[in-house]
Amino acid sequence: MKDINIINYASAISDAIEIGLSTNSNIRVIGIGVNYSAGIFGTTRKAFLTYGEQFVVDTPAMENALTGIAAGAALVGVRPIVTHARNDFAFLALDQLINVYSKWQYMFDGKAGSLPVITRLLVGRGWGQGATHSQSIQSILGHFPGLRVVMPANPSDAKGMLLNALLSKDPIVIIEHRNLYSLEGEVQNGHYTTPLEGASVVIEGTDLTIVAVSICVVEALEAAKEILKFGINVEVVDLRSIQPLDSETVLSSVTKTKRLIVIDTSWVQYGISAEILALVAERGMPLLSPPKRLGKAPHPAPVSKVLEDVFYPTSRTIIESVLAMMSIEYRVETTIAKDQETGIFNPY
Amino acid sequence: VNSSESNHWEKYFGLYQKMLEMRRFEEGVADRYSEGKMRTPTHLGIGQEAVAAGVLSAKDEHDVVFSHHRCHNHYLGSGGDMNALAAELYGKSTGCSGGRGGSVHLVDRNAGFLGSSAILGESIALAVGAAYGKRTLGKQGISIVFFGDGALEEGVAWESMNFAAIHNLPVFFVCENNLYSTESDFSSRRAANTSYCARAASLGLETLSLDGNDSISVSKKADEIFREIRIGSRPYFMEALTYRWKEHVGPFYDHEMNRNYRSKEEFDYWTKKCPLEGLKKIFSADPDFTDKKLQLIDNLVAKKVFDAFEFAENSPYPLLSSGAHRVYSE
Repeated sequence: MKDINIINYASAISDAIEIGLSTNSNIRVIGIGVNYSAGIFGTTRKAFLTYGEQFVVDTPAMENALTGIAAGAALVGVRPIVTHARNDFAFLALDQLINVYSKWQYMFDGKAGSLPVITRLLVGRGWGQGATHSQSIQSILGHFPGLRVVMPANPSDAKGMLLNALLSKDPIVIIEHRNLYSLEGEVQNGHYTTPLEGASVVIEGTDLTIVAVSICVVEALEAAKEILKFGINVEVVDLRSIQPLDSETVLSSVTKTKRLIVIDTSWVQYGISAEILALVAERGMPLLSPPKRLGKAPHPAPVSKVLEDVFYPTSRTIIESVLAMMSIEYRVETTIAKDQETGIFNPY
Repeated sequence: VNSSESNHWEKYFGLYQKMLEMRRFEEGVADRYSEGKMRTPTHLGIGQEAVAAGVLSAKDEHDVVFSHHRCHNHYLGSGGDMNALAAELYGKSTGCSGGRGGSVHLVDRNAGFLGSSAILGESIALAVGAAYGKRTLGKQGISIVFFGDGALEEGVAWESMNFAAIHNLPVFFVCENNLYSTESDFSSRRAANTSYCARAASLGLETLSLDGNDSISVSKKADEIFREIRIGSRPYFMEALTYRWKEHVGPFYDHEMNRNYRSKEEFDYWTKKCPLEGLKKIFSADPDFTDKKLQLIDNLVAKKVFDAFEFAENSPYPLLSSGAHRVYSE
């Protein structure tokens, strides 16, 4: 058996859950629809078929209580993996996530134990997901000290971070972008872990730093390839962890390139991009041109395809921003405009 | 005197001692609160002791307890360390939560008291989760959760009870209905001719409503309910009618603060139903009863409470450098 296989992001998560269950009988996969035939985009289906309903537990639509129940179960030894099929549903669970999860260990000075609960939150996009099925709440969750918030951007991290989270004592939120599920990549077989903290430099470059999260890393990598044709070497930093934030990797990249674009899966105001720019500003770092933030257009997500297509930043937006920042005149060819819908016909 | 009869007197004196500990401790808090050393919003449960003492008299070492913002009685009733409670109110490092949680965030895992919360129904979900966890891991014990009538206005309470009913989890839901949510009475919070028990029963829970100031009756019912839950009956919902004597939060009586949301007649009716006085009246039927026996209990409790406040006063504050510790575990 090969040590490394090319598998997609969803399979990588499914693998991690199965490996977890095979080595730790205290793990329970809990959430609305985790046992369905579609099984949270296939990520929980295999676990359900192998381990059954005692280990993979479907619940009523009770997002807040479900999140609290997972916490209570963790207090007596369970290792829950809770899934909310969209970030938007997790708004109903914010009391538990913010008042309980993020504070439990601190507020009782460790004497009430820790809450080793993994919360998987899915982000929707495309096929008219619309205003309340496409939000991405990393900056909300990252704002309150105590939660670990990660956004794996490739299959290897998706598996390694989940396996690492299963060993951690802290409450961990994993934000997964639905459009990453079909992304293929090299993934090590069997058990391994990747760090829950620390950004990674995905492509080294000298001219400009792009800091990105989740699917925006994929867009940034695509853009970087095109931009290379103009002789521009972009450095792409995958933030990986939102909280804690690896400011050193970001700052050392910007120190080198002196140009910065940040791209987020959410809006720019009060978001990740605001935080990264604040970091750079606070250090008084000299830049060769004003930094740029890319995110969703400043309105709720529209359904109509013509409006949706221009709502999200894409590799094309990134290319335009990079070239503008580098003062290069250009005309973006339409071939690099990508239809996010390709191949996706499952609206759930 | 046969042994079962002497046992039940022993149990009643135990209840009395437990309730007296709660009462004297909280009176101690109220007496000292204005000194300004307990800088934590404090919700006193004076008048409600019989619910905590009665229910928790049935608890064993496998059981776990959760509570809400008015949690001192449940912490002490579970066997929580009184010194650590006092120190917590004083913000000292020896507090049960290291001085970080305050009056509403108590814990004593050795006593099975797993935590309390300031957000009304929040801990109901935690309690159901603990019961689910015990069930799915094959562990013994039931989960007891105390909450007020106000908590039943939050969706999380019903979401949680529904889950407990679906999975037949070993949970004892104890609603301390003290008739008020802060200063709001039922007319603004509950439709006429409806009841909490009927709502809970509609989800599939066993239910019972009783006089929450009668410690013996609460204790006897708790024994039965714990036994039934242990042998696998449905989860239980108990509404214990009781009354908070003091203001919602703070050391004073409402009349001292010129608040009139509760009538004097109502207040007098309930203070006449004092759980401690009610139990005392029964002791005269005990053939072995002597005033000296009560005096002995009073003295023991007074010493314990005095020592707890001494402990708190003499304990150190947390180190300034510790403020950022334990945001994460590693």
